[in-house]
Amino acid sequence: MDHVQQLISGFLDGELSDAQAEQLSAALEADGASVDQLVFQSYIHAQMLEWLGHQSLRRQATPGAYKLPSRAGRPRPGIRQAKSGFRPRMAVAAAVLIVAGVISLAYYLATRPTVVGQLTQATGPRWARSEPAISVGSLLEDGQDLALEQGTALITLVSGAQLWLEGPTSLRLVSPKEVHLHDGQIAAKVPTTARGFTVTSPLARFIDLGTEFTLKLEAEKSFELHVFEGLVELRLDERFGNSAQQPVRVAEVRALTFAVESGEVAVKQFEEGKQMPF
Amino acid sequence: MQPEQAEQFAALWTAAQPTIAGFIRTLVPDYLQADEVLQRVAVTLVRKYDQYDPQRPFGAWAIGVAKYEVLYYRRERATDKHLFGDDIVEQIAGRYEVLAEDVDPIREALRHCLEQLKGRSKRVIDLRYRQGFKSQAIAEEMALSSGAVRMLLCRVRETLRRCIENCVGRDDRYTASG
Repeated sequence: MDHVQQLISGFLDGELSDAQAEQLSAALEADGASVDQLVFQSYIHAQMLEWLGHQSLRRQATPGAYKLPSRAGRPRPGIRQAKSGFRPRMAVAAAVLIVAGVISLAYYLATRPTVVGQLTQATGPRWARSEPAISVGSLLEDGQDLALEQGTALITLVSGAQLWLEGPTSLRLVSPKEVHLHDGQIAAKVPTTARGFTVTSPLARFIDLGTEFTLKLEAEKSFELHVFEGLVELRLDERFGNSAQQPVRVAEVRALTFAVESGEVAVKQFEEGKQMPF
Repeated sequence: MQPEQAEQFAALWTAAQPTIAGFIRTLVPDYLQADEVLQRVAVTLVRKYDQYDPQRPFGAWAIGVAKYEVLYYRRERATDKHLFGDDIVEQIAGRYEVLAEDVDPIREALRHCLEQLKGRSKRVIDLRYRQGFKSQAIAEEMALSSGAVRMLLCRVRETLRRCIENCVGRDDRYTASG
């Protein structure tokens, strides 16, 4: 293992001793390739923090924890300083409000949850306790859990993918191109722009390759997949051993079923009536 | 800033934010201080957004702005010990500006490569990033020494780098080193 790689890895984890930090600094000054390595590794480190640490970081993020230090003392070229006592109070108040507004906007942009979609239709919906309450037109955020106890609902994601939910169904919106289905029945219609749209579940991961499909999941027991158009790639969870080694591609007008009991994917008779009315 | 501009800015910022955060965290290792600088950068970008040329990649422009914020922040804390000198900061910023021009293939490759991780490699990444554990805590979870955990993390990062290299092509300037 390259010593510089080890130093960079330790640096990313904040676990370098002073002596090791000096070694890393010297290595960076001596060799541009080490700078490239550091830049690349620090980028993927930040990206993994963004993806994998998103939830825990958001929990920690409270407005009180972020305070900008005073910017007093910073040179402000081009702005002539008014003499004390001459500045009207209203102007000072307005300046304070503008700065506060800009800081609030920046804080909001830096920490706000990302909108991933919108509830665009619902028929006879009853949602499990949801905070905030959702109704047609509500914007939906990444990490948001939805539990539709009864009725149907249509969600349009920012990626262009549309999801029908048929209650009882519960899922989490992970990103504009990913949802995690806990339990229930959904249908997805995915335009080519959202190719790669993924439904994860406790049993398997379903990767859309430009298609329309329905998925009925009974948590920890079974699922049933109907593909109406295009192609879906199915990867069983690792715990299902050999069956999980190879992804299965399911073409249109095909249906598959899987039961934890058997541990095997089986072909099922395609039922056109399972198609949802997009 | 007009509402339409604010929406454009929000979209560009959301996409570029991990890259800018990576740049800042490289130079400001303390997590809270790095977040403070990230917010300063966001404020400055909002203020300067009317100067942004949409023909240029937003990420590269934002890194240029972030570099000055980092340098200013370091000067504010002149008594603190800084790991890297200003010339190294310039080099890192220059590389990040190039990286920021086209991160999508690397990001997609990383997503794919993370899915390929199995066993201990997957576990150590989960504990480090999902749980936010340090080496000592990971060592206790995995019944390893903390030195072995540091070595494992380093190996997995190298595995990811090689995997990304295979995905995006060996001639890429950042993935070909090492």
